[in-house]
Amino acid sequence: MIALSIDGKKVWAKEGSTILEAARLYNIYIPTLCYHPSLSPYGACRLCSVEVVQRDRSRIVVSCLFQIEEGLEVKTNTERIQKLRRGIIELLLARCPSTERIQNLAKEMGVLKPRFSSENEDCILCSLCVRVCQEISEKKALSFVSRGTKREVATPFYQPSEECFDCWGCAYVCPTGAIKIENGKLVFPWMKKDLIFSKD
Amino acid sequence: MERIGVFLCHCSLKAAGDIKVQQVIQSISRYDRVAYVIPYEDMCISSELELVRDAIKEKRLDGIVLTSCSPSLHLECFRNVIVSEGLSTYQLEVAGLKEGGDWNLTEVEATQRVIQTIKASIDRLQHQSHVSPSYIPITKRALVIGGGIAGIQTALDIADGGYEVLLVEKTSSIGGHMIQYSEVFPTLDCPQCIETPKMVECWQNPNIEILAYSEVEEISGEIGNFTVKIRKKASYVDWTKCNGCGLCIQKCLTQVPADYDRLPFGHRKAIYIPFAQAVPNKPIIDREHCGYFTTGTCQVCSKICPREAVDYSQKDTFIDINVGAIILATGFELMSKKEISEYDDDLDIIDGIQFERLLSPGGPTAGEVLRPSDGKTPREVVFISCVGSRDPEHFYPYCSKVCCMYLAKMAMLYKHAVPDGQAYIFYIDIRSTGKGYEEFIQRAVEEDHVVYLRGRVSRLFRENDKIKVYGVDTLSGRTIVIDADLVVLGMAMVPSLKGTELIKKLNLKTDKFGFLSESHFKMRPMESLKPGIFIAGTSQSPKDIPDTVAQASAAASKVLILFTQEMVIQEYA
Repeated sequence: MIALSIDGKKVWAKEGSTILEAARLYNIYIPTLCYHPSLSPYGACRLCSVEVVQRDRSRIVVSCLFQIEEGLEVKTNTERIQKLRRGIIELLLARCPSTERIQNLAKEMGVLKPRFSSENEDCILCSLCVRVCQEISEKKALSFVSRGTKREVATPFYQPSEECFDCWGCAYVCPTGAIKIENGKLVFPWMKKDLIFSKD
Repeated sequence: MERIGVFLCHCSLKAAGDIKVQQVIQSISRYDRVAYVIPYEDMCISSELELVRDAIKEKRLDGIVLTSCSPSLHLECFRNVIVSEGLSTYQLEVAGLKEGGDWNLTEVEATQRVIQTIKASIDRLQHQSHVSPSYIPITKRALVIGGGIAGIQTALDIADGGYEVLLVEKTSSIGGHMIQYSEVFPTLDCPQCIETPKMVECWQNPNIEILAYSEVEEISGEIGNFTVKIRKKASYVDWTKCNGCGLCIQKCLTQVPADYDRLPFGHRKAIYIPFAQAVPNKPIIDREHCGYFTTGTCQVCSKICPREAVDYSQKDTFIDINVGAIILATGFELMSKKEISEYDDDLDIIDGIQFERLLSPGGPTAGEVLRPSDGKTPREVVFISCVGSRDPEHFYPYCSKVCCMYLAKMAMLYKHAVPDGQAYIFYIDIRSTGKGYEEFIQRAVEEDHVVYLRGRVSRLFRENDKIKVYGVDTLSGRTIVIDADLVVLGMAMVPSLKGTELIKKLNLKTDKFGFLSESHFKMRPMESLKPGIFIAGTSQSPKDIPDTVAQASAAASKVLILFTQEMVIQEYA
């Protein structure tokens, strides 16, 4: 057992746990979008950022990846963290203005309208679906394709995957509802776009 | 029926109040068709029964009325005498003078009541003279309701006797409360070692069919021929296909707090087996939390199952079956600590079963004793006996019987896990009345230095990291304040049948606390008031494991006795 303090409360957790896991054990709230307890942490959304103090120096880390250490001091809700999270959620809200979960998180953090121009995306590239496909169903039918602003989740060559066995785990973990099930079939965001590749 | 003999037992007349015996004799003698009236000292003495035998011969009696304290106790003895003299069982009528009586009658009233009762019996005898007993064949199959240690033991004994047994259990595994415990007093062996073999034996025995995750829906019929309807609840897993590999559980994406342990440690999945040694070792889906049922978007378990055993469309199914005898082994629950306002929410005030799970090697902490609130090792633990029991003003007047022993055991096991910790037990008095129990208590005090404080706790509340316990030691007359890390409550045992649909369907009598009433408090402690329905274990009263097993075997032997007969006499009512 390793002792650390989160928001001034002394807590104990098993060696190798992350700050987020320790906090969840004690019902200390840290917002997340890309975390799932059954999957390996990834650190995509950065919403779970917290401030840690070590050797009198404070820095910001993502709590879903940062492993706990003896005597670690964690602050989950400082002014600095709040500002950081507001920035992240503002960008996410601009990217996905119609997603309920992001709207709720934004409202919670006091962001009502993003200053940036709206895009009408659903996917936030959190990689939960990719991780489910890799770690749970072990099919690896989904992965990220392209880079930079064109990065998206897709099956190889945008073709229906032969590997996929319709477990729908990707749709279940998707925090924004970007992956849907329509008429008993998985529907990904890229299927609705005009692509040069054939979709059938 | 022309010649009726009336035999008045003095003992029963005395029991009925101040009776003018001569007046009774005179009044009865003048009654229609009464040929012979005679008072006896004690009818139940065998030599006196010989006199009845002689009188039947000498006076050529063709109808007999006997007075006695209670027909339910004496009827069989009297019948044997009558039948051996060539009369039928229905040429005998027993007037129970002790039963249903108002004990505050005057001499005149009491005498009059006795005369009326006897006259009623004489009239009844004449009406039933044409009756012959009807014999009904017995269905030689038993139904055991409840898969705890009582149900398991009864089922095994009946099955070993060569008869079929249906073992119905409402959860998905048999084992009951016992399998939740860490180690059991007074020998400190673990239930995983002593109960699991019996559970597996049940599974293997070809005469036992385990209907886990099932509940009794309807019961009708009489001794020898009950018809029961059993609901097999949908587990959403086809148990005939499932081989218990556990891949579905490993892959399930939904985590739920572990309700089996009732502690804030660890999780279970939405598809789960409650504990490692479960029998049958098959998973069920928790519909309330499962992703498929809540959002319709996840079917990982059904796709991942190599046997294609997961079936989301499964429905509850019903089984109708005939049985000859029913054994109720429905067990107990602990009184909820929510009923006591001051214990309500604090995570560090736990009940016995929660502490058992903390101590258990199969529990969420793998046997490490940790405080539920912060995961720290508790250094000072206070155990409180008689919470809810022996408290007639607030809760229950009865003694829950096992708390003294299990609190001593827990204190002992706590000391084994945390040798530098200190255990305190507040008690009213120590009730250690089983074999080896007193020695066990002494061992806790002498070897493990458990501090026993005779007195009750007046108040406890949280103060920062600790729970302040205010109590009194009545032996030294001092008030005591302990800064405890953890408080364990010896909560009262309450019957799990209390207030359920099942008890209404069974139409059985219980006492006011919900414990099943037995046919005779002392002489028939394993029979319910309904013939053919037997009782085993804590559904009757609080019991420890040896008593439960003993009663379970006793109930099984009663069922076996019934099953050795081909027919059962249906009483003329």
